[in-house]
Amino acid sequence: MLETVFNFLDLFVDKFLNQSILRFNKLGSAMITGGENSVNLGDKMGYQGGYHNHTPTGIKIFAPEDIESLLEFSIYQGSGGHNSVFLGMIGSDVCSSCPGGYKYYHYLIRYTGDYAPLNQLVNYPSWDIQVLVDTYRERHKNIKGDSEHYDYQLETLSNKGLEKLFFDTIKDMGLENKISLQRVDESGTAPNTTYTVQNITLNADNKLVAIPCP
Amino acid sequence: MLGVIVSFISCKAQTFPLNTLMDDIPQNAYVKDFNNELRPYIGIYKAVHDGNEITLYITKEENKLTKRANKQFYRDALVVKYIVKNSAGVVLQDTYNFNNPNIRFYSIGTTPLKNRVDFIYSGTNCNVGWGDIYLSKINATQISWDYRPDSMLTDKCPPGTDINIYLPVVDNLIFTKQ
Repeated sequence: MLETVFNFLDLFVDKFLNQSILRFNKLGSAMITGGENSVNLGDKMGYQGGYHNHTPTGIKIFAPEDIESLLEFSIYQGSGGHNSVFLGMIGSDVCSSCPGGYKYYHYLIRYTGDYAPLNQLVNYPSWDIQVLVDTYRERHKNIKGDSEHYDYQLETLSNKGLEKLFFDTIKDMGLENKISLQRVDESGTAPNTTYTVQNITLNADNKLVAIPCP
Repeated sequence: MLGVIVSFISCKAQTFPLNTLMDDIPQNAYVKDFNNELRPYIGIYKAVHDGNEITLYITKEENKLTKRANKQFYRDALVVKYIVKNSAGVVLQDTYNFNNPNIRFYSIGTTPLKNRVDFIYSGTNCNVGWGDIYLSKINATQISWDYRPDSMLTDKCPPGTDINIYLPVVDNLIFTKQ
C-alpha cells in the first residue's frame, strides 16, 4: 500500500508543489487540474483515495471538507474495503534554511472506524459544515498564538500546530479514534529523497506523539 | 424580590474580552470590544487592483451571534460587505446590495502587536477562496489588506456556479477611506 502511495507521490510532488493551482490525483485516474484554490474531484466511486496539494497561502493540514471527502471515498469502497482508503495532502512553505529552499508538509489520513456508521456520517452528518469551517479557522488563529505550536521562522503553524488543529477538528466532528493521521517526513533532495512515515496520535494526556512506522 | 434579582444576575451572560480564546468562551457568553479596538476600521474603503475597483463596507455589529462546533456565543465584530467592479464599471460581485448568507466576512479578534484586525472569509460561491483576511490600520484614512486563501474541493458545487475569486488575492494592498 505504502509503495503505491509513494509511486503515486513521485508523479505528484516534483511537478506540482509550490503552485497556487490546485490538483487532485485519484488512484488509477489521470491528474485532475483545478483552478487557483479549487479543484473538482469528480466521481469518487471505486477509487481508493488520492492526493491533493494545499496551495502556498493555505493551511497545510486537512480541512473539514477534506475529511468529508475521505468518508465519501471510504463508503464507496464498500464494507471490507472502507479502511484501506487514504487521502493525502502535500504543501510547502518557502524556507531559506531547508533543503531545496522549501519546508514540505505531507500527511495521510485513513478512516479506521466501522463501515455501518459511514452512512450517517456521509449522508446525514451531525455537523453543519459552515459552522465547522469557521470553527477550524478560529482554531487556526488561536493555535498561532501558542508558542508550543508556532514556527516563528516561517511565521506559520509548526507540524505540531497543524496536527493539533487536525485532532481538534476531528473531535469537533465526533470522529475521535476513527481517523488515523500519518506524517511523511522527507530527508535529502530529489532524486535522492527518502521518506519516513510517522503515526501521529494523542496520548492519554492529550499530547501529540509521533511513532515511526516499523 | 431578592430571588428575582439573584435570578436576573445569574442569568446575565458572562462577558469576556475581545481576544478570549474560543475554547475559553462559555456557551452564550458575550465577547465584548471593551477597548473600542474595532471602531477605527468602520467606514467605506476603496482600492484598485489589476484594473478592478474594490469597495469595502465595514460596519460593527455588537453581540453578533457566533456559532461554533458544540456551542454558540455572542461577540462584537466587524462585518464586511463588498462590491467589486472591473475597469469598465461592470459589477463582478456585490455582497453589499445583494446579501448572500453563505458569503461570510467578519472579524474574530485583533492582533494588537501588528495593529491588525483578523477576519474569517467564507470564500465566494461554494466556499472557494475561504481563508484569512487581515486588515491593518496604517493611519486615519488607510488600511492595508492581506488575503490568504485556502484550498477547496468543489465536487459538491452545482455545475455552472461562478467560483471566481473576485477579492484581490494579494498582500499589502492599500485601501483608502472614502
